[in-house]
Amino acid sequence: MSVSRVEPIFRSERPFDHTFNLGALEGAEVIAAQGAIVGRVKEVRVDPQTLRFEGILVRRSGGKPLYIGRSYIHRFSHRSLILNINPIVSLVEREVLRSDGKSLGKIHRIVRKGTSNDLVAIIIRPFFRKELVIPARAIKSTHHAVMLHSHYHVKHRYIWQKS
Amino acid sequence: MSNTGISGRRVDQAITSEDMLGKRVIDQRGKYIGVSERVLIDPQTLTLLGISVDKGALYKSIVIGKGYIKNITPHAIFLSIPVTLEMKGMIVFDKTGARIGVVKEISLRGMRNTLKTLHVARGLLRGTVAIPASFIDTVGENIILSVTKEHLEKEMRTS
Repeated sequence: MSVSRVEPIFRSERPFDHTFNLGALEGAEVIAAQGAIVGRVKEVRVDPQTLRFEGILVRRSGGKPLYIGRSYIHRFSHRSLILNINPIVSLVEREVLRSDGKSLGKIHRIVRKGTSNDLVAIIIRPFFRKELVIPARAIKSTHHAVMLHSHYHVKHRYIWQKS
Repeated sequence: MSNTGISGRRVDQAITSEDMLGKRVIDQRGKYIGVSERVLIDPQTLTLLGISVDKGALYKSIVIGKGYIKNITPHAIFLSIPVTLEMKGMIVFDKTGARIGVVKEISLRGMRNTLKTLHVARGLLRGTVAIPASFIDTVGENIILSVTKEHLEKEMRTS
């Protein structure tokens, strides 16, 4: 809506043409920092006490919807929203490779620091072997497959072996 | 049984072409590129030129020069670069996240891994747009530009 068609009533707040219609964000595409499509905005959440924008609820094609806090939002427009992170929950099902290229399997679960996007560990459940917990410090990169540092030595245990 | 030979140097640490073939080729970012299918050797100097990578039945093989190979392990061949040709098929977003289109063609500088221009299909009846490498901000699973869609259209009109 154009400014000329609006009757303004405000004190020290920003003028109408300097604000953004958050309702228009609904349905906008959510893009991770590295360009991966995370999903679409389902809801825009506001703190009822402070009336401050707090985050968005993202509908994904697979898995639970994500609630992403505003500190993880880089910029938005009417068409889409770009995050300043790559949500680590999307690492589930990614392949994990040792530094020599051997595949250890796919990520079964992610352990995060509280509700933040900080990775603590990844958990792999290899075939016929016990769950493998790999700490975040052993991870070299997560762009495509998860690559481990060469100094990290994986100790596999079969399900019939004691811990 | 020990090998006898007249190689002139120790070859205990050397690998054979068999060690290189059929291995997974993985780029710097951990992306699976394909399987090594041929080892290319210069017939004059007898030095290794590179490898040819099979990308599956639907895609053309690509040749990767030895300068881009980081190391060869028992399970894979690691590259020291993200392969620019792999940008084909990625979605291109502008600075604000607006969708521009999908990468259809890639122009490289000579035969190197350096990107010159992306040719992006904008959808049915809208043709393609050539985006210079200098307009690219991030390349990951998809591409994010450092300019807006409007700026890009303005550039296209002036060029």
